[in-house]
Amino acid sequence: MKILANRIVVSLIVIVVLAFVWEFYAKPVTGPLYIAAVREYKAENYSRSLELLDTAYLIDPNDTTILTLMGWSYHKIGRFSDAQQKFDRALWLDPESQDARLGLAHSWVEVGDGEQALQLFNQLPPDYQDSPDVRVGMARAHRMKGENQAALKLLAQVRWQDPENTLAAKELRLLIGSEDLDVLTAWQLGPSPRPSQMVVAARLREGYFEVPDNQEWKRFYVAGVNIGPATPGHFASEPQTAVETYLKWLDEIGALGANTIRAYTLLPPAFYRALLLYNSRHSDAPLYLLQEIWLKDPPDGNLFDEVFTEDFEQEIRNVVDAIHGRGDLPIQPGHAGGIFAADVSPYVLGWLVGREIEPRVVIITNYRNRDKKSFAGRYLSIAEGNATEVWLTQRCNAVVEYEAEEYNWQRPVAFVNWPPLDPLFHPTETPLVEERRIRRSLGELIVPAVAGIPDDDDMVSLDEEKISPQAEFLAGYFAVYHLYPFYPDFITFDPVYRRAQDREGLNSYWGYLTDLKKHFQKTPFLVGEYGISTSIGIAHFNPNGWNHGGLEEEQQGEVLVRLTQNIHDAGFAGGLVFEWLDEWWKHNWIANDFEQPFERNALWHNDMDPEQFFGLQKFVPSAPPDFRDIYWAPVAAPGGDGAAAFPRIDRVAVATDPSALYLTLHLDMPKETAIEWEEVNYLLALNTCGGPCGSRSLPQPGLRSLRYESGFNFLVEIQGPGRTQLLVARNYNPYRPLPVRGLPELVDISHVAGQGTGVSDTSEFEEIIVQVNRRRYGRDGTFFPADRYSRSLLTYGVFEPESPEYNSLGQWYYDPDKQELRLRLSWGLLLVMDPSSGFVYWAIDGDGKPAGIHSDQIGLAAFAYRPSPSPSADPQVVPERNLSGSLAPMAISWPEWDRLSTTQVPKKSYFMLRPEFERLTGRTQEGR
Amino acid sequence: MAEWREIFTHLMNMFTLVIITYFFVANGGYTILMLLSLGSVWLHNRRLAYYDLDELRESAVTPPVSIIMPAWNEQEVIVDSVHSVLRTDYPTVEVVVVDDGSTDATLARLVASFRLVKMDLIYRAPLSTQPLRGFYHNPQIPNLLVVSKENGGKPDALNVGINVCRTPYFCTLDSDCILERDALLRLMRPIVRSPINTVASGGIVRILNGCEVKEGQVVKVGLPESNLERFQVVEYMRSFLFGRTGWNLLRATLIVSGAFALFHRETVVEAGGFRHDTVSEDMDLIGELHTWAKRHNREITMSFTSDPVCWTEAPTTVKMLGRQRRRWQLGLCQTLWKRSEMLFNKKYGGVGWLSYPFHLYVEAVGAPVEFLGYWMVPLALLMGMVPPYLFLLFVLLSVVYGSFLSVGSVLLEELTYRRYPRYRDLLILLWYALWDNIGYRQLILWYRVQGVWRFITGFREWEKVTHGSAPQQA
Repeated sequence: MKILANRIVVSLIVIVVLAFVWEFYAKPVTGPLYIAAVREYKAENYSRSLELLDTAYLIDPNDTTILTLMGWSYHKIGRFSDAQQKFDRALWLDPESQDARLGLAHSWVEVGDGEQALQLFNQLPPDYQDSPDVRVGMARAHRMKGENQAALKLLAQVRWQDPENTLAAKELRLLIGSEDLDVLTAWQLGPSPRPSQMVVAARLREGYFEVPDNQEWKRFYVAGVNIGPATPGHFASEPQTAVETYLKWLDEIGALGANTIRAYTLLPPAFYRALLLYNSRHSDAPLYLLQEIWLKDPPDGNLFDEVFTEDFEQEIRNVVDAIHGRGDLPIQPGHAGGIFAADVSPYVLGWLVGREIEPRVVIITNYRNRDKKSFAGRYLSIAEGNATEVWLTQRCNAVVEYEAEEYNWQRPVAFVNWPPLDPLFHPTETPLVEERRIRRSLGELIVPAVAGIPDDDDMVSLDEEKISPQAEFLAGYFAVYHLYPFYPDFITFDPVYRRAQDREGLNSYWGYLTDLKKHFQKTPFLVGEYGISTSIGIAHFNPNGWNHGGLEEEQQGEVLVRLTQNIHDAGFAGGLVFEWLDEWWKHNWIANDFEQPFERNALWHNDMDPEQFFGLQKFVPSAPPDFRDIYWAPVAAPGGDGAAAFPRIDRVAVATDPSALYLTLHLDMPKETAIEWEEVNYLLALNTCGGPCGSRSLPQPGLRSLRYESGFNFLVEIQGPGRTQLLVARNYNPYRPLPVRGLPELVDISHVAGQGTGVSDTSEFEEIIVQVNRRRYGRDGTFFPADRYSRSLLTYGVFEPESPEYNSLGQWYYDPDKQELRLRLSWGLLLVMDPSSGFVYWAIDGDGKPAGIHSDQIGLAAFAYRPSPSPSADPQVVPERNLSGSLAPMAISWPEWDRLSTTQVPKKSYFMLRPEFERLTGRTQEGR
Repeated sequence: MAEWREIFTHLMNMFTLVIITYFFVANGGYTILMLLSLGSVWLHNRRLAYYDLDELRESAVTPPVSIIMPAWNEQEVIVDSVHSVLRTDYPTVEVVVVDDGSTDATLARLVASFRLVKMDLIYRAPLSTQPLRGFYHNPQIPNLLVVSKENGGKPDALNVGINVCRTPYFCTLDSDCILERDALLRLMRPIVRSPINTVASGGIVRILNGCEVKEGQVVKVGLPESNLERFQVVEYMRSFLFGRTGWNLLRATLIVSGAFALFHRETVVEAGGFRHDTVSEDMDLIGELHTWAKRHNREITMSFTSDPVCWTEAPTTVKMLGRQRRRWQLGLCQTLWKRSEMLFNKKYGGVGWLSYPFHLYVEAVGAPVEFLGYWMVPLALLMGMVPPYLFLLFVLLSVVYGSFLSVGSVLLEELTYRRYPRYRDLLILLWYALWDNIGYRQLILWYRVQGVWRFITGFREWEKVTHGSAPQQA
């Protein structure tokens, strides 16, 4: 006991006691912090909750409840790896902590690992497993593993427990295409309801389709649309999953007078549900479906690759099962899945196998499999074909065979083909090797050929006429082509086609159609795709002006009507318009390199990219552009007579949307007066780089003494209709005219590898000229010069869609009622590569590809000035009144966005095409 | 299962709390001491400006001093050491060499070198010691006296020295040390200047390794070659700057190195001289002086001065270093344990409230705590018991801040004293200071832990430290 009197012993005991007391009694209680954190968490204020929890964590780092709530907070703000770390630690500290286990399981679901998640879910006690949230989580985990039935069962339990559970509803939509568990919900896919008699859903007779109608066959002329179900903000791999969306589209397509739709690949279950629902409501005029079975890229270009072929056979079986309402496929990115319970087999007009195959693939397949020349299937056979034709015949045969054996159904089949592989000979379509020879003989110094096999457009062909349907094949076999008036080049160059005339006049498209028709004596012929784009930018010219892009919506309608009539008049089985919706994710060669990064392509609409504007329906921002003044300062009139009449820029308002930058110049002039373009012109100078680029000074005579250190890379000269143009600083222009080596009198427009961007004191401003058709040489040496056009001239027209004078190509106009000059400067025209992140063109890299940079802001200066002949008179400058010295441009910040809100709007063409379709299909609005 | 986990978690939390607090206190203490030392050095340098050493040297009233050199089996160094000491620059100095019953030629060499004659002297022995064998003296060297006695350990030898010396102050000096010539004068200065009885005055001990010695004097200061010695150089610089000067300013000196210290003879005699019951008689004596003074209501003071310098040979092998540090730590523990009444005792003022607790908790108890920390904290991190931020804090406190202090002290000390004249040496020292918290500190810690363990298990033996040059004799 004496030792207890020792001060050292006492003090050490005191220290231990203090630590004990601190740990068990005096330690700041984390309880209130935790309670506050729970409150914030419940208020969905997760970052605040995390702040509180961080403090609590400092005090008590080993408390599992704190750790678990931290995990949940991280989970809610999407930081799943942080969440998993916290849950993991909590679970380590206390293996019995079910909340932590639950959180960990859910976070595994969020990161997409169903296996891990299910393991944890299954370790939970039964009372946990019965909760709706856990069941939804387990359902998602099962769905990720491709176990759709297990997922469905769990979701059904949740719907019964909690009918309002939105997450379960969303899952169900993904899984079966509907929130409701109805008759179409297949609990277990039983044996197929195989009819004893072979059922023929549709057949081909005398070059046309026939469908059963009241116990008899009736001719069915196909007039329809192609559906690519990717709405703005989504890629084709993320199709819509709501049955309502598809139903709306089907209603609108029905109202167009169309009788057929084509799906490029298996769509989500919601689509087939919607189709069944629509057709049950319109049993007198159902919409038929042409179901395509999508072909992936064969490895090394060889279609006969065994694994590839077996995969495709599996895909065939999957798709056939799906349209018979017996599909159960894992949901994978890029491939639709779920439970396909809607049996739409009576409405499937035919099977389309494959897609537009690159000539390269055909060349490789034919070369590698030279011995494969014939195939005799039960339903289709080919006697003297090339390997690719053999492979396609086998696959078409496989579709028919599988459906006949499994379901005892038959319907027509075709493989997808296109002009580069047509069986005709085109004298103007010189293969690349031959063309090089011609060019070399003319003196051109040709850079050595790129390695690999070029995609020549008239080297190989796939000829449907070689394929013979066998007696057992009651439905019949047809040909499907994608035919456009601007592609390939032979449609423009071939002298025979150029001389061709339809009812209305010269029409090379008609020339090609009739030429093709002559070849297809026995095989019915369907135009799988035809269409025309309403983009501002043009990618290819056609002699009739039916260019690849650059058409007003009304022109689109006119061309579509003409092409529809051509197809009908040429005696084809029908045609399908490409396409139902504008697809923002798509890209055309002329704009492709200027749309970076690729992952953000679906977030904006590039007016320069024709591929994004083929739709009969377009998407506009749900809210109209929100204009705000970026500068307002009444500028006093400079002294001198007549100055009062000078219509100054009063203020500038600016707005943006996913396709363009909108500028409104409010002019200081009497109401309802026209601008005297001889008296006043306007100039806009832009810096889109956010940093130094372009020219520090301006070329206009009266403005030469102004300087802007960072430079301007674009100018808009507003000089009246037909004379208003957008110019680019030469040192920023990626499109360079380069003399052809060896043929100096010829020029090609392309990029210069390694061309940077700089700022110089004076850089020329020039037009943006792009080359759309490259120069070509016919097989006989005929020279077809390149086609170019300038994007610079801005089209005068009202561009607000709600206006009665709406012009879809309009880029600027003057509104005398409001004294406003309004401009629409497309992002693509300004060489913006991604407006949603402020990414702009910057330089050409070493491989000759455009590269971009992130820009901070757009600088803008606006001027009003008297044009020549009195160049120096009376310029007015906004924002600076001082006409010499440095400029301080107005700054426009980038409208960054990661999500879109758009509304679907029909183009004018939709209403123009309707009467034509109604006439062809006999389905009128009044009729229903 | 769950209860055990909970208990373990709580224990871990408590330990984490203790270790983090320990590091905060230790690092905070060192930082304050460093700042105080800086202040002290600054004050000292100001005093020097108007205080002349010559004044003291030529003064008739400068008290005489005896230098007591205990020697046990030091035949290799003893003659040189005595020569060196005899040349000390001090008005009246006597040298008393106490041969603690050496079994080698220590005595014989002394007798031969200084032509000593054995004689019998009558003396009063206020402190009881082992019996004497004889006195040796040379009338030509009146201020040298050699005493031979039965072996009784260092404290006993020192006590004999105290018994035979005649001066009011005596200076203890290890026979392997080299004294700077004016060190004694400098050491005496604070005693003379102090109005209160200064019972002990200590100076700086520096490492001889790497220096060039000629005729018992350091003629060229340099750095030793081996890493171990260099780390010790850094450590000495740090500990003297931290440990002694700062405490002196706080009037809380608890440790004066017995290798080189000046004591007031009468007070030491009254306090009972050096004791045998600890392995660090010097530290023990300081403690005894404090307690004795309080018990007898004497006002005493102790001083530590940063300019008197004594050079000592540092251990060159890990084994020797281990012995030295185990002994130091054991002595510290013993001394502290013996004077536990000083802890938080208001009678002892600064000592009781500051230096004693600091030495107890940081230097003595801290060693096993820190040691445990090095094992437990990373282990607990691996087991998930300690969140990463606490581990980071631990590393920050133990290693990063330690390095910062080491580098800081070397830099500050060198900037003030310029002890190593070559820039290259300074850079080397800074480099070693940067790394001494990784490896060297842990090595020393291990010896300290062993010392504590010996204290707990009752190990009392003196481990003889031999130096690189001398043959091992223990």
